[in-house]
Amino acid sequence: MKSRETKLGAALREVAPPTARSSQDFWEDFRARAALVPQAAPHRAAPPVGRWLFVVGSAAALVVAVSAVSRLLTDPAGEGQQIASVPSLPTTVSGALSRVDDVQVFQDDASVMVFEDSENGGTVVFVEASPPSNHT
Amino acid sequence: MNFGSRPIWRSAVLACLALVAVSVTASAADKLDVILVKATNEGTSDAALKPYLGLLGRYGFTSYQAVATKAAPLKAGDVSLPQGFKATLGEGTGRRVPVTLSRGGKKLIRTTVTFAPKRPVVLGLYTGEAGAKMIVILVLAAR
Repeated sequence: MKSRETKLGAALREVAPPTARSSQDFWEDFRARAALVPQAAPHRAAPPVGRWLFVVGSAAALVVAVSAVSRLLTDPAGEGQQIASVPSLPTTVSGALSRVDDVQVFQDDASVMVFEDSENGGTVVFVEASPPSNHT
Repeated sequence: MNFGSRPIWRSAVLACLALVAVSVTASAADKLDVILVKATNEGTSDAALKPYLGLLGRYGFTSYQAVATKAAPLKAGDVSLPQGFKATLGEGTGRRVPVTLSRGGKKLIRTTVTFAPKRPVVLGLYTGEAGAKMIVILVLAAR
C-alpha cells in the first residue's frame, strides 16, 4: 500500500510539480477563500436569561397578588348593614334577574312591592304612599 | 434556542405587559349605569329608553323621559343626579350592594340589590309630585 502511494505521489509530482509558496501567500489565499463562504456568527456571551425571567415572573406574580388582594379589600362583608323591611323574595321566575334583597322606604304609610318581571328581563320596585289625609 | 435574541425579549416584554393589562382589567370594578327617568301622562316616551319601556310600563304612565344617565363603578360612592337626586352606593359584597336614593339630602328609599349583568332594577320613587313620578333604573353593565 505504501509503495502504491509513493508511486502515485511520484507520478503526480511529475505531472504537476508543487510550486513553492510562502506561508504568507497561503494564509492570504485561505482568508480570501474563507471570506467567500458565509461564516457562523461568533459566539456571544448570552445575557443572564434566568435572572431576567425570574424578574419578569416575579413582577407578574406580584401584579396578580396585588390584584387579588385589592379585590378582597374592596369586597368586605357587609352583612351587618342589611335592613329587612321587606323579606327577601325567592327567585321564582329566573335566577338570572337582578335580585332585590330588601327595601326600606323613608315615608310614612308607604307600601312596597317588588316584582320580578322575567318577561321584560328586569326587577321592578313599586313604592306607593297614601295621599295626605283630609281628616282633621 | 438563543435566549439572547431580540425577538424573544420583545415577546417576553409584551407578554408581561399583556399580563399586567389583564390583571388591571380583572381588578377593575363593575360599572353601574344609573338612569333617572320622569314618568308622566303627557307626550311620548324617550327613544333611548326603548330597552326599558317594557319594565317602565308597569307603572302605568304613557310617557317616560330620560332626565340623566350616569355611570359609576359598583363600589361605595355617590352618584349625583339632576333635580337634587342622589344615588349612594354602600359597601357591598361582590355584586350585592346597598343603594340609597335621596333627594335634597332626604332619604327616599334604601335597598340592597344583587345585580346581574344587563338585568335592570327599576325603582319608582314617591316624590309627592302630582301626575308624575320619578324613576331610577340601575343596570349593571356587562364586562
